[in-house]
Amino acid sequence: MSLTSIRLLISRQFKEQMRVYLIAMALLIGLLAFMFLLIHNWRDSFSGAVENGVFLIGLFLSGGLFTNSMFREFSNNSEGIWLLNIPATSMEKVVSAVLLSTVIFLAVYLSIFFLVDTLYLNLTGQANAKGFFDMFTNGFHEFILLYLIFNGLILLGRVSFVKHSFLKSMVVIIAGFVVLNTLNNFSLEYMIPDLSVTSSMPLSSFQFRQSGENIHVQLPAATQAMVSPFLWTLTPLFLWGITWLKIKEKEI
Amino acid sequence: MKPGNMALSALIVILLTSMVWVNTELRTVYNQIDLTDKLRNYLSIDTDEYSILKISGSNGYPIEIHQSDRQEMRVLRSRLSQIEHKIHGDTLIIHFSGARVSPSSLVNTATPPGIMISSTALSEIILEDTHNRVSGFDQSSLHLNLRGSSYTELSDNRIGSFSVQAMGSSSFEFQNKSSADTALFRLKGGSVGFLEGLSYHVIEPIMEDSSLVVLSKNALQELMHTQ
Repeated sequence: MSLTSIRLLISRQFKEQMRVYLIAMALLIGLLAFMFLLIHNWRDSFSGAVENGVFLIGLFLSGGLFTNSMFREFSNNSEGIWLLNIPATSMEKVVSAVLLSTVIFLAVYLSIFFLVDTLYLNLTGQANAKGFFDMFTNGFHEFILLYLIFNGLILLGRVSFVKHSFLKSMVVIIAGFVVLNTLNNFSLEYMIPDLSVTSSMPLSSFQFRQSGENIHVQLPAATQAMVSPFLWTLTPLFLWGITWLKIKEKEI
Repeated sequence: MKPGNMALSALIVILLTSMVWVNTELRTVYNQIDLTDKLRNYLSIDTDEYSILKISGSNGYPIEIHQSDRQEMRVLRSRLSQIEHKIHGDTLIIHFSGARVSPSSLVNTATPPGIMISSTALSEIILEDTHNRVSGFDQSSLHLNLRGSSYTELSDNRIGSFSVQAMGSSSFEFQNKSSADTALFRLKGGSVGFLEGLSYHVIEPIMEDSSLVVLSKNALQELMHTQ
């Protein structure tokens, strides 16, 4: 794997798509500003961590669309063959796409979000009272790690589905989450008789109803420390690896 | 089968196996919960002795502070990851992070307490930006220091010398009957005090900036009479 090839592949992407990226950035600023305007206008209706909600909608919507623009050549046979013939290995192509849609995208997204958030707080006079957005409390930063898994799934969908890959990927992701959650609830209710699970998060926690009260059951900290690295590190690596295998299959 | 599909199948099998293993661990935690205990939804946290309590953070979940014959702190299971605490000298410092809600929605909220603190005796309680319920204190003196946008409900307290200092946009409200021999209030900024539920022998209010005290007609007459 050559770093020069990766750098050239990323440069190619910027040269070909710079205009689209600039328009997309302006659109993202507009979308975030619009959402902040909405929550400010109806601030009595939206309580709680509304900035976190805006951050997540912006991250997953723009991140998903941007990630899906990687390997877009595969939706057209002749362009797909052209992409495969670029003098770089399939590993270099995957690594450049992953770097673009994670490291570079997150740097740009975070910059834009903090810029719009700072403007919003200053213009509405909340900067001193509320303080700026802190993504390192209550484990909120784990959503960034969740984004890496989401990125792996969208990239895999991009190389697996020829047409309408984003829509198909989203359908598969939502269906997969529903099936996983149903299996998780079924597994818990099978293991613990008379349990009524009201909600659960696979590989983390569940909540059950007891005498009209929702009771939360969380993994012990030591076990969570074992599960988290697997979930947040190995899963995206595995998904990027499968994307690489899928591109290699196309080469054959 | 193609290598890509084999790897995808392997990932699904690993995820499902991990999920079942994690669920066996969760079952162990579940089996440790005493379902007959009315405080089953709370976990007990050990702390050293303290006489000053300092709490800051968010107002999404109320914090109950009351006097008891033993010192204890319990945290709602689902909020355990949101609490940080340490002892500094004889002060217990707690940071309870989480979502902030509009102050108008705090009154009569049905949200269960996020933290329940029982204390044998406290000399001072410092509260910043949190929603608090202070009750059941029966002692010779207590100083309450309210900061930020904290909202504090006080009920069933009998204090000899009760002093409250409120700053910022904090507010406090005496609900069920509380009494004080001497009540000292120092309000600054935009703080608000609701004194209707307090009876006293001597009251010394000091008010600065745009602070407010809200009184019922009877309480006002009582105050005029006292003065």
